[in-house]
Amino acid sequence: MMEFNSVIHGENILKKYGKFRLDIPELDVPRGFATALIGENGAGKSTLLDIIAGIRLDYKGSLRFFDRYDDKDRENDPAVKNAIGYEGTGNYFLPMWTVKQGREIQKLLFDSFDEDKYIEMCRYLAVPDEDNKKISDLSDGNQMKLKLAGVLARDTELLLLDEPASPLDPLMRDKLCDMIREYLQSDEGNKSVLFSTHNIADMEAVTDYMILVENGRIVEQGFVEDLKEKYVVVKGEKADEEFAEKVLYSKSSNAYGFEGLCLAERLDELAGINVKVEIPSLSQICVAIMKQNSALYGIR
Amino acid sequence: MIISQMSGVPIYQQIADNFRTDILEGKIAEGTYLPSIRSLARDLKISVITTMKAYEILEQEGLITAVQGKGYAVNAQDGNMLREQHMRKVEEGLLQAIASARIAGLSQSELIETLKLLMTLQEE
Amino acid sequence: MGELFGIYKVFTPQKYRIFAVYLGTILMMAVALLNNILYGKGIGLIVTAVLLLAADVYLDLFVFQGIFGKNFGFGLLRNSDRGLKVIKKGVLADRLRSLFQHMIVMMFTGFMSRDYFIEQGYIEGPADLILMILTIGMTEYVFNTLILNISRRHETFFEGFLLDMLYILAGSAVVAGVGFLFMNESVPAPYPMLAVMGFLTIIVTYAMVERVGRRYINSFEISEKNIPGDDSGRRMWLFILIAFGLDALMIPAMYIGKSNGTDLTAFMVAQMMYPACGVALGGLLSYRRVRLPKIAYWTIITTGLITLILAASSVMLPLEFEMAGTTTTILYYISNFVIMIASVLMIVGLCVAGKEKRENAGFRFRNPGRSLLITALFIVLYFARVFILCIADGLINDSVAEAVRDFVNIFSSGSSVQLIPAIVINLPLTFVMFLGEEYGWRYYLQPIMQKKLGRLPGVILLGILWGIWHVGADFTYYSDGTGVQMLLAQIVTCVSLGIFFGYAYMKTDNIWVPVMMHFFNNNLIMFLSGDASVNAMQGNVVSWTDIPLMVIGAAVFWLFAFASIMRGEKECPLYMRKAGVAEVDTINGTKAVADGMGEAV
Repeated sequence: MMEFNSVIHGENILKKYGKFRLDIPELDVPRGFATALIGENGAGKSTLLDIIAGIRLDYKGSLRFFDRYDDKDRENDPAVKNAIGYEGTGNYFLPMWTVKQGREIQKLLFDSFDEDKYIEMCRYLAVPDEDNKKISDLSDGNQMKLKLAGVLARDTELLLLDEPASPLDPLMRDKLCDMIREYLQSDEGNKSVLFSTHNIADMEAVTDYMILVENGRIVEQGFVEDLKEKYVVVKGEKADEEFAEKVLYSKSSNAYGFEGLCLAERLDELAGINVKVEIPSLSQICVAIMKQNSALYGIR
Repeated sequence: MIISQMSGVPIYQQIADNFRTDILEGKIAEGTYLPSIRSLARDLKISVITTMKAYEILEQEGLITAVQGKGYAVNAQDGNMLREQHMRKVEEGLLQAIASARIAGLSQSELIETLKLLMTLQEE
Repeated sequence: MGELFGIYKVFTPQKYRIFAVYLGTILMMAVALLNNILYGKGIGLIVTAVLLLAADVYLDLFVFQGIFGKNFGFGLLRNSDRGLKVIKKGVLADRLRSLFQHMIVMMFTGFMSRDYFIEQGYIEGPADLILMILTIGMTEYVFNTLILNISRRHETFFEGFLLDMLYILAGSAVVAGVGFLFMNESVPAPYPMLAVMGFLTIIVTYAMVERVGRRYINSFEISEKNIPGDDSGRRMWLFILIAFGLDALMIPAMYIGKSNGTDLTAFMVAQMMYPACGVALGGLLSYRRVRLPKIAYWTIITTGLITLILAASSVMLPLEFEMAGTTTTILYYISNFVIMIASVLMIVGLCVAGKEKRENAGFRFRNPGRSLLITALFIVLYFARVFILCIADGLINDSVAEAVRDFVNIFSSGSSVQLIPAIVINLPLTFVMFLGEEYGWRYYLQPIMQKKLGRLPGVILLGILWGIWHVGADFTYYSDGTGVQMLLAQIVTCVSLGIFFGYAYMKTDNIWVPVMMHFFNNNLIMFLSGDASVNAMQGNVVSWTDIPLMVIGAAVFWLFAFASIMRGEKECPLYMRKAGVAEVDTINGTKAVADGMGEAV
């Protein structure tokens, strides 16, 4: 496993919310990389992001940012919040702001907000030029573009993006990936991005580190390339299916054969049968782990 | 640099191969810095960790060295090593040829004949 | 600091909500007062307390929590240290607001219960009163705080609780002080209350006009179109706020007037203007590119405002005198003049405006022949209804012949016939009032209701709303002690008339038709009673048995619910033609709708 410095380090983060329980004994987000927070809707991604950003403060546990600041500093030292660019759901912009007001208010709120860059970013993202329209009247996609333009127009060290890809169309998702890469390379190794997504396939090409969250818990995490070595996709003949089943994480089979994911270290146990081994994609890994857990928890 | 998402060869491997060839062929001079990990990732539209892994492979092979705060510099390549690297490529290519020959049902002598023929053709 | 101040504009657009809360509180107080009067001091007090509590909790939870209290959301602000400061100040402002609001509520509860508690012998001196108000205040506040603190999670519970307790103490002290002031029995309770309400109304009005008004105006969408039935949210809410809000706001004043024995006719005049005011204001605010008859619109708005002020003042300034055998207030007399002047102005305004503007505002007198015919039909039906009612009454009292004789007598009685010219002259001089209602109900709301619900259901629901809108007058003016029955009777009448008015409006596409009908409906009562004064409508006793009779009588109007025009597509195509808007044909681009519509109508 690769060694890294944490941009965010969390310990014993706990948040109860009715029946839902977010319980993360240890959290590490590597510095200088794009980290994907992956999970189904309701897994606790947004809650975790809100906790990290200080949008909600009703949690237990401690956080450390940039190896220097703790969560009290985040609330008291303007430098911390200025270094964090957060984009999230739920009245992120107040509903009655117009596009113009939104821009002016961001100018007031953040010293490092670069209006020219913001405008340029909006143009790059093809946000319709309607200054007097209310932000809440814009489409979800356009609202997201405004949010992204807003955080990227600031001078930050860490971006926290809540589901940035989901309201965007494929072309814009591609641009989003480009923007994240551009951001990461703008200060080699010092800028980090943490984004959540429930559809990893869209963001696979920009994900360096992955944290898979399910039912409020982290079920797998690691650098993508490490995970691609940790797991392998196994394909085999129908006849060997039963034999292989014991080592497979998840399995799909048809009349001709089966396919599944297994830990690379358990591949030895399949010696003797004829299987084809492939490198898995990130989504294959995620899906397999999710399926496995659903089976454990007795969910369909 | 051409990167294929579909080739089955891991992307970091493709990147490493490309740089290796360029370094061994002397296209990249000794002492020059390779593009930074993150700018290469941006240019190739791939994730940072992938380029990082490619550079790590090259570093392990002794082709490049990480310089703190500056990136990865190309090492001096001695003649033997160059030859060794080329040998490895020759072996790789031949192994592939052998595999194809097996599928096509070519005998050993037929394969060697083909190789000789090709070599004469190229010399002309 | 300066730039921090600048950030406060972040919340400016939210302010209208804050004032809406005060307005809501006042309305709730009005309802509470109504309960107190209706159900006596004992139960009334409990109902009042529950209502106020509910209103308060509701407002705090759903209106203010939405602004400041949510623990999540406002991501942009919370991501900035400056934004966080703004939110914190906002929370503080919210608490101050809450304190102020609670003070009002406590004062109100204290006043209302004072007499009751004195009667019951629970309190004797000022100390008792202070204790009582404190108890009420405490209980209410503790409950409220509890709920607030559960939902407001960004503070610790204890912190919030401590702050709130401080507020309670401070608030109760002020309230108790004021209460002590009014323990002096020589000051009659309603007047200070009225003063408080008046004061609040002034604040609210000022704030709404100055702050909210400007924002609100700026936020109206500029539209090329002026389609009746345009249900764009803001315009509709403005209409509802004015037509129903003003109506509700006046209820307490009417009750005070009634309890003082003041003549309330001035309120009836003012009330009729609210709906049109709502439409006119919305029109002036929203449609910048469509030319509208500005003089006519401003006449409507000013008339509404003046009559409203006159009505409200008539309670405080009950200068009465005798006119035509009736005691009425001078201010009512003045408001009659206002209506006359407004009617003349309106005619001038509409003539000056020209065809295009009249067209845009739906003021054109279309299909004159059919219009007059249908108006005549209404008069016939009106008498038919009276006839049915006479017969029904006769059947009940076993004297059908007498009933018929009574009916015929109406037409032969000298005083009634004399009134015919008076009624005819009255039409051009008082039509503004009837336009005031019909412009809101038929011109504006009917197409919206129909678009949403279908033609007939739309008309029926409109009738119900129209009936409910009379609630204040039903309890105070029209009836004496039989408010509930009167309200029910009113709804029956409004639905029946609504069906016919709606039918007539759809058939003629002419707003003046329902205006004339409404005029005749209200004035023919004089003809029936042979009394030119407003007495005939006032202080009636409606018994429950009258209501089925009314339904039977109204059957002549109900029949029109089965007219073919009441079926068909939700949107009556007529409205579209009037707006001169082309229907969009998705394949062939635009094409005019009007083809053949003329025949269809």
